[in-house]
Amino acid sequence: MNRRPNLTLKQQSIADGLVKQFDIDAERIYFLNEDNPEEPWLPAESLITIARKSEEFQTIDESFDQYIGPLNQVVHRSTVITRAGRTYTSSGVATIDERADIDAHALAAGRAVRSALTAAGFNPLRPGGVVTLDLHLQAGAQAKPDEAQSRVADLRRIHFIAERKGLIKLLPGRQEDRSDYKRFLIEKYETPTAAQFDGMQRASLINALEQLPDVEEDEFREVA
Amino acid sequence: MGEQLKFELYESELISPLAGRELTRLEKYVASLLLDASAAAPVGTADIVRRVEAALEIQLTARSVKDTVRTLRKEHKFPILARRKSPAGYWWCSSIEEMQEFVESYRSQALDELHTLSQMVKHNYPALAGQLSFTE
Repeated sequence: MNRRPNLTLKQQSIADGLVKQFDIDAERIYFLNEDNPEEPWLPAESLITIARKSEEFQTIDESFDQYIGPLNQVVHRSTVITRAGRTYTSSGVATIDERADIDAHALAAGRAVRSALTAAGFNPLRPGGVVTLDLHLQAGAQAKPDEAQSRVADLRRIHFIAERKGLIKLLPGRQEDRSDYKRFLIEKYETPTAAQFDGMQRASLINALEQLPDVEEDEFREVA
Repeated sequence: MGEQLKFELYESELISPLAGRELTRLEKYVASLLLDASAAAPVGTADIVRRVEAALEIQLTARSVKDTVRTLRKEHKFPILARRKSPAGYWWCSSIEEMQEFVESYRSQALDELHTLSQMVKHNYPALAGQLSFTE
């Protein structure tokens, strides 16, 4: 297979494996996760192709949901129904011009499908999973999506990113200054808390926060 | 207390716990679960046990649910209300009227228990009757 100059040998080998096994478009296999550079990112069509081959799903749908004007975001929604008849719906959000190499709609659609498949317990591209390409649903997958658990997980991620972006600041004495975070929420979402958001709004917030620049690490912040 | 405040309290405690003690995984989950409950549709103990087992793979008893709610109330100051009669269960307080009603029922329950204790002690151990005192 043709070597893509921007990929490492390991990434190329992962991409080749996916193309060979699933006959998906090699040019549309990306590696976007800076924290995990060997985790492939696939567009919605490729994910759907792989999921269909697993024969674990009756239906996999994906469509455009809405445009969020103030945040310049597009939202796509994906619904999957497993062979056992369980339905999982998730949103994927991307900001217009978020990346130069992938269209925002393709990003949002890929995120929506991946999120819905993951909720159903299907994640063949998870770190470590790509080698074996496990196409079976994980036994631990919930019978139905649990909003309480999704809220906890999403808020943890939101707070982690907000801290990385300098909206939540660690003060001496283990206190946190979250005034900038609250200001951001009020300005963008007209509410001071993300705990009352639904899954789509939390995905929107995560994406909006990720567009902000990281703050420089202040090694003297603990010094008064 | 408005509907929005419970969400603010929950998120604020996740970011910066009042007493410096972070919520455990179980406490975070139970408090989150109860955010979607209300006085009209509280979440019962059996439901909490079932949901926790499905989501966290932790086996709880009715006693441990009670202990968890007590910690959420006492250490994290979450205004989580409860009702014994149907529809029974727990939910986050969303108005001052709800809290007032809960205070009344909680107080009469506590007074009833103190009265029961007093009767037992006075009847069987009158020498201890003068020593009955209660601290927080």
